[in-house]
Amino acid sequence: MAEPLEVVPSEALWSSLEPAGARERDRRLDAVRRAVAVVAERLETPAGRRGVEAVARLLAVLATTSPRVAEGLGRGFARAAAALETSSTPSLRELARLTRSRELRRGLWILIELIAGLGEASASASRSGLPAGAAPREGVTRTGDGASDTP
Amino acid sequence: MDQSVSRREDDAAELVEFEVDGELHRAARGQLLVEILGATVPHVCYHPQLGSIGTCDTCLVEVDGAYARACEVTVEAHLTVRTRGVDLRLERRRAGAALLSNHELYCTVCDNSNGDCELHQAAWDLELDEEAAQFTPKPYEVDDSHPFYRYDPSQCILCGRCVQACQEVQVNETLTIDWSLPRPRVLWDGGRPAGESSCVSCGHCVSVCPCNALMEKSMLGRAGTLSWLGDRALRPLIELTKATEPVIGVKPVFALSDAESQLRRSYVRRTKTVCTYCGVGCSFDVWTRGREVLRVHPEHGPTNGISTCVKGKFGWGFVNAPDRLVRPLVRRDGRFCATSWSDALETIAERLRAIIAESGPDAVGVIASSKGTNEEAYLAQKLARAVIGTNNVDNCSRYCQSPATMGLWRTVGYGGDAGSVEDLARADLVILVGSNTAESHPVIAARIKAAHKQGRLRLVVADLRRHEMADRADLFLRPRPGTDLVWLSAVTRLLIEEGRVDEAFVRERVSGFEAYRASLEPFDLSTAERLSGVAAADLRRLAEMIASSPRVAIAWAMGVTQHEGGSDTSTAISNLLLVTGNYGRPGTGAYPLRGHNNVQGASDFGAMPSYLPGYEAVSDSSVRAKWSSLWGVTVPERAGLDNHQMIDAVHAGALRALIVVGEELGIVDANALHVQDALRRLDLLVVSDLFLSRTATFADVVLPAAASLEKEGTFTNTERRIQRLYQAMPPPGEARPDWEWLVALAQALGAPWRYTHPSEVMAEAASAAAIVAGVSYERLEGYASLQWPVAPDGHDTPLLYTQRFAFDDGKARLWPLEWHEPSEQPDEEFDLHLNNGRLLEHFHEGNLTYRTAGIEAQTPQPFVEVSPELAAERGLRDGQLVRLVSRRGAVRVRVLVTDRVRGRELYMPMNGRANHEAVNVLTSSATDRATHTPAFKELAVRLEALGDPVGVAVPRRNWRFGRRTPQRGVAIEGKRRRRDYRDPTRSGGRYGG
Repeated sequence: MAEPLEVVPSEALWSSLEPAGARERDRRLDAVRRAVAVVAERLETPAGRRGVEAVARLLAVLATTSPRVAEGLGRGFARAAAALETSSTPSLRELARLTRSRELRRGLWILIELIAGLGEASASASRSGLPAGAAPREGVTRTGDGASDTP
Repeated sequence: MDQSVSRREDDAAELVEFEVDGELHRAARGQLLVEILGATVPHVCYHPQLGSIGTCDTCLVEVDGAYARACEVTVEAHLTVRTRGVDLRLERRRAGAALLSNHELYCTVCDNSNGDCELHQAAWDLELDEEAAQFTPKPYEVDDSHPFYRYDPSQCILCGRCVQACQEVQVNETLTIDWSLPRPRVLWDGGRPAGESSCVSCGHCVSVCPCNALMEKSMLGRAGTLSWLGDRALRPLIELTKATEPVIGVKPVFALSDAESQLRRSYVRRTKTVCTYCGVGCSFDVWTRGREVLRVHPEHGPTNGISTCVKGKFGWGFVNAPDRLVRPLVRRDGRFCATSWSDALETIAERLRAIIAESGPDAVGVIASSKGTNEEAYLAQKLARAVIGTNNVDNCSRYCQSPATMGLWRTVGYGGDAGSVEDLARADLVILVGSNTAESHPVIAARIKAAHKQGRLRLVVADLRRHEMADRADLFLRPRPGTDLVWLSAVTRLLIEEGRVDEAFVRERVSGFEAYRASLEPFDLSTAERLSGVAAADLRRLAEMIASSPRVAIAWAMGVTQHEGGSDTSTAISNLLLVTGNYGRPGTGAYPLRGHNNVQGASDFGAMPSYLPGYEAVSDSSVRAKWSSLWGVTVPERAGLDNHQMIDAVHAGALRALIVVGEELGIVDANALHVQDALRRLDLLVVSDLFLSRTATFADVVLPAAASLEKEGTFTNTERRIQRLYQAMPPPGEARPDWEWLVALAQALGAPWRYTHPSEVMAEAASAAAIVAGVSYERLEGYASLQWPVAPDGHDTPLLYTQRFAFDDGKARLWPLEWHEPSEQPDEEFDLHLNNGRLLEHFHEGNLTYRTAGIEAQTPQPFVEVSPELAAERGLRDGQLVRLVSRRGAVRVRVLVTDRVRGRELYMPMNGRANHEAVNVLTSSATDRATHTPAFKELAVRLEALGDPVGVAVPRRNWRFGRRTPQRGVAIEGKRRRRDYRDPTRSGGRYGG
């Protein structure tokens, strides 16, 4: 006579396989969720908005890039990659010869504008004691030690 | 049949010519213009399975010089349609902007942005942006009260799809839009929280919502790449993105969200599957992320379309339940030990060999699963016949549907529904006998309710209980238990007496009329009234309704079959249809509503003691020779035992080993304690299941099974429709699909089985069984389906008997009947009749459904329905604990006082998993005279009130306590009367406004 058995060894149950991994995954997700919330909150500043706006502009530029420009960008990346491969440093004469090209001068101008923007942001941040790109939130007074926000 | 009644057949669609933007088009007269124009004009509220709603105005066109909504225009000859032009574009943009004023766009972090958000698509098509429509949130909280979905009023565009689905497709009539509010919104029961309303959780509203206003909770925070971050992180990101939109425009943001939605495709998998619950055979895409079920999305199912019920839409919690079995168990030293598959299978093989050697192959029985696939049923019966050497094989149709099959075999030849579910909706008169269709086959009920609400059919319900279908019926008959045969025969006799039979049909297509007519002699109206309790006037009215209806269909279920005369009553139904000529035409016929997802298929594929696959009789030597040749063995000639006989044989010591594939017979078979005692006595019990079921607790070996989402195969639904299911995720741990271990066990027993995929099993069955000759996996690809019989060239048979009945002479057979009193009647000691059956929320005992938290919360336990008059007589209160005692056993349940039952009739649902609450502890071993299906419904009990404190039988938030708010569709006139609504069809067009 087989009497009913109602106990299953734990190793034969799904709970023995899944929960440990699931718990760990949930813990990590929670940590990331909290971290992103903090970052998102800090981004919600005028400077943050400007930064996101700039990224959005970049996206807009990318989204409207013509095939010809995309091809040029790809070619430029390919050349840059090739230049990285070469061990020899170009001489000043070689560089000077290159600057005769209108296309190169135009590209340099774009690059310099980009670098200048980053430099100004960096200098401004170091003057205010904030990281680059961040700025005090409107209506918020930051105390000297940065410990608390008061309305 | 009255000669005056015309035989309406569906008219062939008439093609008409009309002009669109100067080009000539041709389409069927009456077809909606929006269907023909397709993507040429955007549309949001229109859905082909919902019909015209007319709320969004985005499909505006010009027809014969006046503006019109394309979803409200039916095609006629010579129409002139214009879809292009700045004026139309502006009007559509204005309409789209009105939608977006009710909806905040944050698609990239929205869980509904999966490449198929219809609002997103329309916003893109209409080139809308935030500037075009200033969004302002509505002054309502998010309704999070429902266990399965949430409603966000501020995301709701008021398209009305959800209301249309609830009012006109599911016909639960819970949802409305209050157009009189300053900011209209969707309401449940006129203003209750969704989770405390009459909502039956069918999920239609969520499935058709074109945006994220109604979302499955299982999707929230899970479907998107970033949506899991939660509101605290997402809100500033959304604000930041919005801040950039005026600068960069909306298109890059849309492009980003489209790119993100493509990313989701890499980890959110959409797999077509077939529902594992009842016999309707709903098919849908299941969305999974790893092992998580995110959503069930119905749309393309040939039977259900957008429809589901609570179980199919939301009842998948069991798949990842922590107590899923993931390793085989072997009983050793009085306890279960986890072991390897090879050890488990070798243990089974060794003990089977010993038992066969000692007692012969007929000491072994196999019970196949009507929840498993066709291929698994085929292999189970082949294991019994070709490897073990016995015909002792059966499936759970023995507990429910065998009498219906018998009734059809006797009269029309095929043991299956005469037509399709759509035929039920096309009938002029539907008669439901002993079927609580709205709870047991909800999607079929929805089709009948919809046709009834639209005035396309009349409905007659015969049942002991006043359930939803009875409430909706044009005529509700409430016969005494076990007397259906009496009133059915009396109505048939009356029709014959009054000359209202279909004489031509009977003459040309039916045999045995005279003998049958003579057999009706005892069933005069007054006798019928006395025996059944149904008034003679009601029987006359029913006869009149049948005679005046060109197309009559009768559906029935366990209220008919689970009696000692179940086969006879099923036969009486078919007889009635035959004499009135209601077979072989669309909208007519007999529809036994199969209970399990594959109860039809398990029998079709031979898991029956007397029949090989395709209902080929074991007793026929040529049949045996054919299958013997195919299998390379000698198919045994000895008749096999059915489930019921197997239990008796165990008690008699003749049956020593039983292999049970996923059946919970320890709880769902009648006289459960008697069955459990048999299980206890077996020398070898093998059970394959997802969980340690009550049956499995008695087992010597328990095998961990795979769920339907974890395997491939086919199911056959109540319409004889064969459909494929695909694997959505692998089984957990070492769990295996039943077909895999059946093959391995056969090999362990020395059989040279070499199947590597279920398609090979189907190919073998199709090579020999005529009714599935043309079935192949290629022909069942995706949502394709075949309704047997299927000819070798793949032609299937949605409607049976159009030319001939399935007998040699092609004629149907009227079958004379006698009525017998039910053997178990209430008496002095057991003075109450206890009816029993299913609940909407739970499937049978609830082994699957209790593992979905939302279902358990709404319906946590079985209960007993007591009539108000009996409650008053006994001093019973709602929620009081009582003891029900029958001649076999006793259970303790709480009282639900309700007028669904009357007088001294009780009702108890079968969702009890333990002996102290399982109705089958009370039921008897009496069976149907022809098929041995237990007479579950013939049960007398006494009720003893217990002194325990009063508790809760059914939580008040359960849908049964809700109050429906019926109306037609979305009541669009309410919107169009609003002062702030500008009707574009009145504003212009070449000749308009």
